[in-house]
Amino acid sequence: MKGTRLDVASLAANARETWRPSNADRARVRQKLKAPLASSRLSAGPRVMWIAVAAVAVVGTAALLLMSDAKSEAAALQKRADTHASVAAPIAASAAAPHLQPVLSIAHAPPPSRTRRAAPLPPAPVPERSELELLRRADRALRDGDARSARAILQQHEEEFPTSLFADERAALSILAECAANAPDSGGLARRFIAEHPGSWLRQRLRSACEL
Amino acid sequence: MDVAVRTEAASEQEFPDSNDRALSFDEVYEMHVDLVWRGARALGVLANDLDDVVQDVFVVVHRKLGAFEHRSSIKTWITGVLVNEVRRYRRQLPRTQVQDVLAIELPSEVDPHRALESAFAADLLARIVASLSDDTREVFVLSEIEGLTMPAIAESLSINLSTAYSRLRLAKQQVERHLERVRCQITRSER
Repeated sequence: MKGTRLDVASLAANARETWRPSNADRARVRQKLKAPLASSRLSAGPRVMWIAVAAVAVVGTAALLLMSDAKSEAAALQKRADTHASVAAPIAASAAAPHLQPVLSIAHAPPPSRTRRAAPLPPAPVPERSELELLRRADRALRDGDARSARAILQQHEEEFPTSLFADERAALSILAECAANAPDSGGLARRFIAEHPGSWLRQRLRSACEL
Repeated sequence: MDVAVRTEAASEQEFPDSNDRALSFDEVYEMHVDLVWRGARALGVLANDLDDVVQDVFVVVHRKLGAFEHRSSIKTWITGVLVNEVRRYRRQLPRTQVQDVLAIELPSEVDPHRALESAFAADLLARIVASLSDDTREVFVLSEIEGLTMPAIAESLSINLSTAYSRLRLAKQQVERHLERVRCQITRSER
C-alpha cells in the first residue's frame, strides 16, 4: 500500500485521491440530476400559469382537508395500530426463531432513496449514519464483550456501506466478533485474514482474541 | 457576441467559459464534479448525504449559469455555490450529528505501519479537518486540498484577502498541533 507521510501536504495529496468520486458516483449523481433539472427548466415557464396552478392546488387542498376532517381521527388510530403490528411482527418472529436471525433481532429498514433532501429534519433521534461511527460502536461493543451487538452493527455497516474504504477493518472486526462468540472456524477466519492483511492494525487483537 | 444575447443563449443550458467557448451543462458537470464531491466531503458532509449535496450544488449551477457574468472563473463561482450549499446542509443537521462529525477522536493506539496506509491517513485528516471551526475549515480545505489560490478563496467565501490568509495560518497551526500529537503517539508505539 502506498505510504503517506504525516505532514499537511502529503495528507492533502492522499485525501485528493482517496476522496475522489468513482465513475459510478459521477454517473449516479448525474442520473439523479435529471429529474430536478427537468423541473428547473419547467419553472422557467410563464409565472401566470404557475400562479393559477398554485391557486387550484390551494383550493383543492382546502376542500380535501374539509372532506377528510371527519375521517382523520379514525385513520390516525388505524395507522397507530398498523405501526404497532409492524414493529411487533419482526420481534415476535425473532423470538420464535432466534437461529434464523442471529444478528439483528429487529428489522432495520434502510433509509428511503431520495432525489432531494427533505428540508427540515425532525428533532427526534435519527439513525446513526456515519460509517466511522458505526465501526467505533462495533469496536466499543466488542471491547465491552457484547459480540451480538457488534455483529449487528457490522451487518448494518455492510448493508449501508458495501463499498466502504474501511471494508478491511469491518472484516477484521467481524472476525473478532465471531471469535468472541466462539463461532466454529473463527480461528481459521482470523488466520486467513492475517495472512491476507499482514499490515492490518487489528492483527494483534485478532491473534489475542482468537487465541492464535 | 452581445452580452444580452449571450446571456439569453446561456439560459438554454450553454454558457461560455473563460475562453468564451460555449460549454454544455454536461461539460461543466464533468469538469467540476470531482471538486464538488471531494470538497463537500472534506467540508463535513456525511457519506450518506454526499449525493444529495452534490446534486443540490449542480441544481443551483444549472439554474444560475445563465446569469453567470464571468467576473470570476467558473471554478471559483462553483466553489462559492458549494460552500453555500454545505453551510445550508450543516445548519439542517441535528446537533448530535454535528457533534459527531466534529468529534475528533484519535485512535488510542496507533500502529506505526497502519499510520502510513492511505485510508487511515484520509480518516485522520478528515477528523482533524472536522475539528476546525467552520471559517478555518473552509479556507484550509479550499487551499490545501482543492489547491485554489488565496484570491480565489477570498472571492468564493466573500471575505477579504487578508482575512483568508489569517484563517489559513490559524488552520495550519491547529492542524499541525493535531499532527504532532499523532506523531508522538506513533513514536511511543514504536518504542
